[in-house]
Amino acid sequence: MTVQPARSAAMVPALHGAAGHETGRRIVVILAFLAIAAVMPFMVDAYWQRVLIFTFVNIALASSWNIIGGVAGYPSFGHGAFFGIGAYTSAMLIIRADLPFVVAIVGGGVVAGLFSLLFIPLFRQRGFYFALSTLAAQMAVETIVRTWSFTRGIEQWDMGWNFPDLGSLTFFYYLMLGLLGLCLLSVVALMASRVGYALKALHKDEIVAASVGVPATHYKSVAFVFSAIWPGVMGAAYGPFLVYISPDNVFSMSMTLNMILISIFGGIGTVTGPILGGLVLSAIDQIAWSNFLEYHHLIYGIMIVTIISFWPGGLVSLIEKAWSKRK
Amino acid sequence: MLDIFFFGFLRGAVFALAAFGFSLVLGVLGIVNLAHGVFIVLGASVTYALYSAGTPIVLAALAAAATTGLLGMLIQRLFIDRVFNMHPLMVLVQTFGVAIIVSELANKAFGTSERLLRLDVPGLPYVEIGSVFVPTYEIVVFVVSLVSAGLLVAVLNYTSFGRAVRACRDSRQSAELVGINVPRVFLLTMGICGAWAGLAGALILGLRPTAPHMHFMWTIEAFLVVIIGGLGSMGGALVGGFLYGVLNFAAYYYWPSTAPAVIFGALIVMLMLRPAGLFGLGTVVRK
Repeated sequence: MTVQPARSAAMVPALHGAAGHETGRRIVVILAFLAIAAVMPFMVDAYWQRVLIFTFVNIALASSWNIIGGVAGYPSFGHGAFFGIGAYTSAMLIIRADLPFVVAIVGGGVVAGLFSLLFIPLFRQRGFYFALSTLAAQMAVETIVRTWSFTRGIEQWDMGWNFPDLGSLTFFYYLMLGLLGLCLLSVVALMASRVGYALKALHKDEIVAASVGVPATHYKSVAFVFSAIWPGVMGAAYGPFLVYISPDNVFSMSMTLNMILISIFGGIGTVTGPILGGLVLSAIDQIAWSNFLEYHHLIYGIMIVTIISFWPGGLVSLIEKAWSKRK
Repeated sequence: MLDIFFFGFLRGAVFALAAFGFSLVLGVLGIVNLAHGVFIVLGASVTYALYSAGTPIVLAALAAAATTGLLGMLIQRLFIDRVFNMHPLMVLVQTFGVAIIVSELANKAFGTSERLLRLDVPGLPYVEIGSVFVPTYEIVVFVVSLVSAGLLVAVLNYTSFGRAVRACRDSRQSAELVGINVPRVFLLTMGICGAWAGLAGALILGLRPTAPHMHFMWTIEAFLVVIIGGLGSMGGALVGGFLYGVLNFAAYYYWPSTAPAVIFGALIVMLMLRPAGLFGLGTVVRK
């Protein structure tokens, strides 16, 4: 069997060239989004502020997954591990070492970034095999965190970590929003840089790209470390917000699936896709939670299957189609 | 030490049975089906429900296999057929979504509690082999697994349908050119995959506790068996099953709390060093 171009064709239309004006347009969209989000606390109650915080985290996670999974075309199924590592690093730095929150946030990113270097040998794989290797890696990390007494909790019998109160809801709202802003701007910067172009070339045809002198492994590693650092940072900031963390809530498979699903729903490989996908999916998720709690998982599954079966290009492709028809 | 090898070997046959369909689908359709574990747990749930309602165990197991076989065809027709040609990511996420839906529905229908049947062969509950006491049921499972695996191999090797399946596996385009109805072959392949995995689930019900929510662990285990044994040959899957059976038993015996990490670690090492498997005919899936 030869390489079949049809396999990757479904994802290629979403990847378009990022000329200079495109970068400018992206920054404007992101700043507008951040500005609207910044005034929201004055208009909504505490419940919706919490929902928005979850949404911000989801968007940041999906945007960083999208770099390796969407733009470079390496579907990582182990990204939840970096979020969990960030949250656990934060717990150990704050609770065990009594360090300030800022150090914990930076530390979460650093540890997740360093940890992602261990994953780099997995880049010998592609497609299904890469996905399954990263999935196995996440599950191995989760098992170790769950059983090793050093990471399990501060006391022998603990199965998780309890954070002290680090700030009000409003504090966490602006913290998460600020981190999300930094994350999105860094994604735009990365896409406009040499790395972004190289990744797109690698996605389209890795062999051709390598043969014209794109150092494939180097750029894939840069993309992977980048897309691991932000989940680490978000995890480190999110842990204290959750107050109690355990492998069940920060290492769960649904963290990874959410990143993937939001990217696909919004438009895989695009910068605005994860933002759109994160907003819409979080809204649907919220409605499902509050109205059909018992069927929440079922609705989630149906949503996944429907999106992939009927809408593989995501919202961005629909909007673009409507836009080009109008012209 | 000896019993670990012995029981691992015995269980290996049922692991192989659980993985046959996975290997076949990976070879023929060229996809990793993350809903594979659902067939296994559903096979166990249906068997349990029918058996508790008074159906003889053999009939219950066959009915379960038929159910999961039909489910496999349904999943192929409704969902996988749309995406199997796209990027691997789409297939993975979609089949995982299917797995969530089916296992949630099974949770509602059969309950979330873990089921285990105590099945003894009347009159002869244990057999003594050397110094090891072996429940006769384990030997029955071993034999049934080998026989049904042999049946599948015979179908693949000696019938015209089997030739069509192998043709699709070796080259889809050429198969289409010589007039093989490829969509029909895919449909039946998923049906076979579902039926054999469902039968495996029915047998496993007497060996270890099973519940619908465990589907993903079984998917991973089937994948591991296929990777160890190598793609492209049913014999490879059988050897993979035996090796995995021993690994699984040893891991849970020596490192009970970190056993999953040991198993996942083994999977990563296999994927990195020998993705074609120990006895594989070479990589069949190149994407």
